[in-house]
Order: sequence, then structure tokens, then C-alpha cells
Amino acid sequence: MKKTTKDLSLHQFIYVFFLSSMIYNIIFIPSRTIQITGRDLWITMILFHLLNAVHLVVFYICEKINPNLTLDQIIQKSLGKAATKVVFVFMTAYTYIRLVVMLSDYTLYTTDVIFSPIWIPVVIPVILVSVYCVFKGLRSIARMTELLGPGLVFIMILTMFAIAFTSNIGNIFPVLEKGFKPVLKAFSQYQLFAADYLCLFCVIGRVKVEKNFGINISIPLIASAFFTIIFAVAYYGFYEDISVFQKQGHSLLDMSQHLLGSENLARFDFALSIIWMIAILLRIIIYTWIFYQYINVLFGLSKKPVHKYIALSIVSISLYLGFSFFINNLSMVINILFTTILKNIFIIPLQLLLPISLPFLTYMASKKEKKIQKNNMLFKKPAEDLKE
Amino acid sequence: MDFVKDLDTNKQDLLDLFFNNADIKFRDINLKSGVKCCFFFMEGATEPECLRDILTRLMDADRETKDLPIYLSLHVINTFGVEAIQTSEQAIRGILDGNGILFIDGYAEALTVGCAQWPIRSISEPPTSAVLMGPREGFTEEIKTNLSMIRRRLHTPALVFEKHSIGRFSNTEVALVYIKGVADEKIVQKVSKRLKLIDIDGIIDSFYIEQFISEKPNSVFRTIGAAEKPDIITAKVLEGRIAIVVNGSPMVLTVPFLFFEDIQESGDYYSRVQRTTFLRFLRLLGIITGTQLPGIYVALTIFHSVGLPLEFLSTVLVASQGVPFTPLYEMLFVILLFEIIHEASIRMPRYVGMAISIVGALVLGDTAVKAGLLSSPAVMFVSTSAIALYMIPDQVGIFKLFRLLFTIAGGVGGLLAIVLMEFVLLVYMASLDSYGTPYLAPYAPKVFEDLGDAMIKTDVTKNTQRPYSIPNVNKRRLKINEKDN
Repeated sequence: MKKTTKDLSLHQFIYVFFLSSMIYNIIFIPSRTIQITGRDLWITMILFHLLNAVHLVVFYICEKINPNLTLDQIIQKSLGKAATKVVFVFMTAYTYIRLVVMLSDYTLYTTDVIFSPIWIPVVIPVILVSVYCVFKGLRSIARMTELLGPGLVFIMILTMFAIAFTSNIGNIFPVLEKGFKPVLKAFSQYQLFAADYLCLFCVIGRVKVEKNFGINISIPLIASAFFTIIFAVAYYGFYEDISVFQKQGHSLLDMSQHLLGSENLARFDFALSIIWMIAILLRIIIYTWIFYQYINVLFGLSKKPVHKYIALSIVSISLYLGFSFFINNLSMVINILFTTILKNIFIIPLQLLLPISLPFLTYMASKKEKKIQKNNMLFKKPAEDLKE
Repeated sequence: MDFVKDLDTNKQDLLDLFFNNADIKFRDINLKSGVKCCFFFMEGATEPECLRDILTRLMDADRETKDLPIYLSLHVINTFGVEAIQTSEQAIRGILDGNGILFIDGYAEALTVGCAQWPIRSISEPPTSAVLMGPREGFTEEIKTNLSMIRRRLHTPALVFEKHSIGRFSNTEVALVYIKGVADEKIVQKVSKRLKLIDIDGIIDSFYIEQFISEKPNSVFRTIGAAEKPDIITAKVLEGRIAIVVNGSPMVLTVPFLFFEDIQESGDYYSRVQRTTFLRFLRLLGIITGTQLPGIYVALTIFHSVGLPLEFLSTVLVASQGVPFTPLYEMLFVILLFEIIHEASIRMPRYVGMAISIVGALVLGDTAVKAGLLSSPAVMFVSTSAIALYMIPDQVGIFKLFRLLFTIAGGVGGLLAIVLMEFVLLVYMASLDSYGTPYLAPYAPKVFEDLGDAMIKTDVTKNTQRPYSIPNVNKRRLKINEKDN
């Protein structure tokens, strides 16, 4: 096997980011956005994926310009140390909030599905396991995802088929009955959470760029978009009257209960819920790793074991504290972050400025690096000549 | 200490160096020519017939020559391995290897005479790797026999046996076996260096070596392979792996080692591919069932009884009625009971062990269920998991530990705890490496070229390349003659 200094192979990259993102979009996003969009949920999903595609193109361009520069190196080499800290403050805060919301979703999901309604025994082990996985490194996480991936894809396709056969697609018509406004509103409110390919920026320079890189990363995006949109269609298609489900946080579970439940076969949906649970846990682990990386950059921590423990301690404690605050005020916090002007704190710098400027910054950083390398070569040459 | 020309001095010095050991014997002889000699050997380590023949031939030697040792080695001693030595250290080593040492009066050198024959077990089918099809011979405790069994299968000068002597007191012979031009030279050097660094009083078995050459000696999983059959070792060496043969041990180690090697078995290569593939999936299922079945049962009965089919749930409830323990404690009790019976039956003499198994499994289990102390589903699930675990006999020990942990997790946190534990286990396994090879390869990371002989087994004619997962320098394994195909 060829040795590589990169953390992720193309195959692992696809599994780690596309699969987990798709499952999160399928499970959690419809139940929230449907409250605004109603039957046009699937159109919002298309918009989310268009935004994802923009981020993916930015990621691709950066990798093409210089596949060896990581995000912090790009910003540091092009804008300087102070600017890097500022950008990473935003990135860290965004990832932290996402992670805490994800943890809250997960806790609600697991307590609803399988556990007693006490959150502490759920969230503490989840945080500890995530931190342990981060401790083992991105390569180990990627390998684990690679191992679980095919099973998860299989279950997802199974669920898709089960839903497709029983839902009445005609229920989604007429399209855009209330106009495009609700669709845009839902997109605007949930774009930070549904269009989450921002996390790809964290692995710039860490993926092995292979032949047909562009095509290979586009196919999973298209597949992911296809599955998510089909799911959104089937979701509405199955329930014509969505008023009950609009009030429920995690109605997908109920949907699978009605679809696949059979007293003779036992609670098949229950088994599926466990598979979904695994998929979401993967997502949490990946975001914990991203958060850990940002903490490292923010505090200037190196790869020394002591620094590693410090960073992991910060991650665990902050997650626990954030979660214990959020869990009791989840809806309030989400409302403030999603619906008020506060959402622009993240949307403007992260969804607009960063993606637009990143290719230019990569170009600048790459040029600067080449210049430094050239200088080093010039500096080295006379010494070598002397030796001869 | 160098020898002197005086025979008596050499003889006394050697006896002193051996502290007058009872098994070190010597025989004074006079050659026909009148020269005095002394023949040293170790009782029980030399072949008596050979010894008698050599002594007879020596006594008949009548030529008077200036260079008697050369004459004797060329014309009188008729065994292999005759060598002139000059120091008592060489003599000690020779005697301890089972050879004879011939001292000749008037010469400051001696001759080692190869006549070693240690008592060894005959070649038989190893009890841990019995097969329905394929070769049945297994390694013995004698390194020479073991190496010859490998050599017999690979008639090539490229097969290298690199010998080491390890252990201050045991001086155990250890051989590194690999094919030059196939095995990665860097890995060979790495293993060789690690063997040279071992400074221990004695090596009793190959598992001592395993601890020293393993990259993660404290790892829960074995990252060094072990096999007891020459056909397995030959196949692995052909793939570019390195084998370590240790004198005194029938277990031969191999590096690098992958997790999926445990799921493969030598019989897989001697039967149809469809059956092999099915059996491999069955073994994987065996691991999952064996480690997690009791835990899942406990989790379902305590936390998620809604997940069970109604009929099954009512059966469980009826069976568990009156049991004085919670499902977790009940399951732990059954597991513990089973382990006690298992350990006792292994260590007891065979005929008592059989009785213990019958009493334990049938009488004790049945009585406990009838007395209402245990429920029959608990006994059944533990028994099923125990049988399932033995589908992978090499890893039973560690999987039993995981079964216990999964059961506790299921009882404490339900399916969520089991899922979390699985994550910890998987990420831990994914982080392991064995000499530069990811432990979970070829599945994590995916090595597409090697998927033909992982869980799914393809025909041998399709495996044209050596594994990409493990480091080797020559990938081409099979040359397909296009004219014939």
C-alpha cells in the first residue's frame, strides 16, 4: 500500500463528509424546515444543495491551486496571524454552536427513541466517545466511517424503497402554492445548518488529490442531493396532512414506524433507528474533530501530547457546559440564532466572504510559499557549492 | 578460553566450565595409532547409533599424520557438520547444541561432530487448526523440522532463513523466514533489528518474541499472526510476509498481521469459492453474535422491550417470571458460570473434564432454570454466543472480554451504550497498525485490489497480484498465459 502524508484518501473523504451530511439532512432538517415551507420542502432542499455545490467548488479550486496548504496555512500566509485568529474565532464559534445543537438533537432523538428522558447519561458518554475518537485521529475516524459506510448506505436505500412504495407523490402538488417566499425564508433560516459543506474547508490540504478528483467529488454531491430531495418529496408525499408532524421534532421516526412496523417482524423501524443513531453519531464525531482543529489553531497548540490533552479537555468541558445551557433553552437559542439578525454574524463572514475569498487567498498563499521555497533554494546553493 | 595442546588440561577445563554437570559425558579413547583422544557429548541430545559408529571408526584410525584433525574430519568421521574449533566457548555451544566434541592430545584445537538428535514430537495434525481438506501436518517444537517443512514447499534459493540466537541462558534459535525479492527489505530489517535488541534470560515460546517485536505490545488485539501449519506459513511468506520460527515452539509468527486474517482459514483455499465466502461471512456473524448477543438481549429486556416482537416478549416474560435477579445480573451470572465451567474443563484431566462439561452444561444449567434461579433465554443466549465465538478460535479470549463489556454496557445504558462501545472498539481497531499495514485493511482503508481475498473469496486464477495491503516489492503473483486462455 502506498504511503501518504495526507489524512484522508478520496474514498474516505467521500464517506466522512458526504454520507454523514446526507443522513443529518434527511433526519433532522425536514422536521424543522417543513414548518415554514409545507409541501415545498423539497425545493428548499434543492437550494441547500446548490449552496453546498458552491462550497464544494471552492474546496475543489483550493485543492487544485495547492493541495498541500491547510486552511490555517492559507489564511496565515495570505492575511497574517491576526487575521487568522479573527477568521478562526468565527469558524470555532460556528462549529461549536452547530455541535451543541447537534448534540441536543441527538439527545432528544435518543431519549425519545430508546432511553429514559434523562439527558446526562446520554450526553456525557457521547461527548467522551467523540473526544476519544478525536484523540485517535482523523485517519482512524475515516477508517471507521469507511467500515460503517456501506451498511449505512444499504439501510438508507432500504428505507427509501420502503417509503417510495407507500407514499403518494401527488400530494406535493400544487408546487409553490404560497409562492417562493416560504421557501426562501426556510432557506435563509436554516442555511447554516442544512448547507453544511463549510466543514469541508477544514480538510483543505488534508485530502489525497487523485485522478478525476473533480468528478469523483461531484458524484457524491449529486447522489447526496438526489437522496435528500427524494426523501423530502416522500416525506411530504406520505403525509398529506402535515399539521401533526410539523409540531413534532423528530417525526421521521414516526414515519418509519408506520411504514415498516409489523407485529410479526417486530419493530423493524426500531432497528432502523439504531442505524440512524450510528450515522448521526458519526456526524457528531466529525464535527468534534473540526472543533478540536479550530481550538488548536485558535490557541496556537501544537501536536505535542500535552497540547493534545489540553485541547481535548477544552473541547469536552466546553461541549458539556454549552450543552447543559442549550438543552433547557434549545428552542429559544435556535430561534435567536436562526430568525433574528444575529444569524448574519455567521452567514456574512462564513457563507459569503470566506467562500468568495478563499480561492484568491489560496492563490496568494501558494505564491508566497513558492517564493519562500525559491529563496531557501538560493540560500542553500552557495553552501552546497562550497562543499563541493 | 583457548585450548592448549595438553588433552587433560582441555578436558578438565571443559568439565569445570560445565560445573561437572551430570548430563555432560565424555569417553576416553585411543586411536589405533596410539594417539589419546577424548569425546565429549550431552546425554539425551545425541543419537546413540551415530555416536557408537563414530567411536568405532575413531578407534580403528591407524594413520600417523602431522595434521590429525584434518585427516580425521576428512577420512574417519562420517557425519555432517564436522568443524575445527579453538576455544572452550565454541565447545560449550557445540555440546549444548547436541553435538559431540573430539579433543586430540597434542593439538590446541578440537573437532565438533554433528550427531545431535533431540527428543522431538512427531509431525501430527495441530489440534487448533484441524481441516477437512488440505494438508494436515503441523509444526513441531524442533526448529530444523519446521524450517524443512517450509523449505519442502518452496524450492527456491530466494527463500531465506536468517538465524538469530536469543536469550542469555536459553540461547534459543530463532529464524526469520522470507522470500528475497518479494518481502519488503525494510520490514525484514526492522524485524531483524528488533530481534537483535532482545536481551532476556530465556525464550520459552514464540509468544515471548511476539511481545518484543509487536509495534503495540499492550494492544488488546494481536498485531502479530501465529499459525501452526506449514502450508499457512508458506502461503503468507509467498504474499510477502515475514515468518519468525522459534526453536521450542510449534507456533510460527508472521508479520504484518491483519484482523481479517483471523476470519480466513487454511481450509478456505482448498474448497469452492462460494462456500468459502459463505463461511467467512458466517465467521464474521459469529464474532458479532458472540460478542453482542447477551448485551443486546439485556438491553432489549431492560430498556427497549417495545423493540421485541409481542410473542417473543411474552415468552421472555413467562420464562423470566420468578427469577430473583435483574436481567443484567442474571446474564453476568450465567456468563461467569459458563467461564468457570470452561476453565475447569480445560485444566482438568480429559476424562474428568468431560464429566465437568456434562454436569456443568446439562445438569447445572437445567437445574438452575428449573429451580427458577435463571431463565432459559439467558442460558440459551450465553450458550449461543459461546459457541459462536469458537468460530474464530484464535481470538476467543479477547472476544469473551468484549462480550462481558457489551453485556454490562447493554444493562447500564441500553442500545445507546452498545452503539457507543462499538464506536470505541472500531476506532481503536482502526487506529492499529502492524508494520505499516492498517489493521482493518483491506476494508478500512479500502484497498480495492485486495477485496478478492478478504471476506469474499474469488478464484485463485483471478488473484493475479500479491496483496496491496501489506508491504511487498513484487506485486505480480500469477502470469496468465494469454494463448492458453
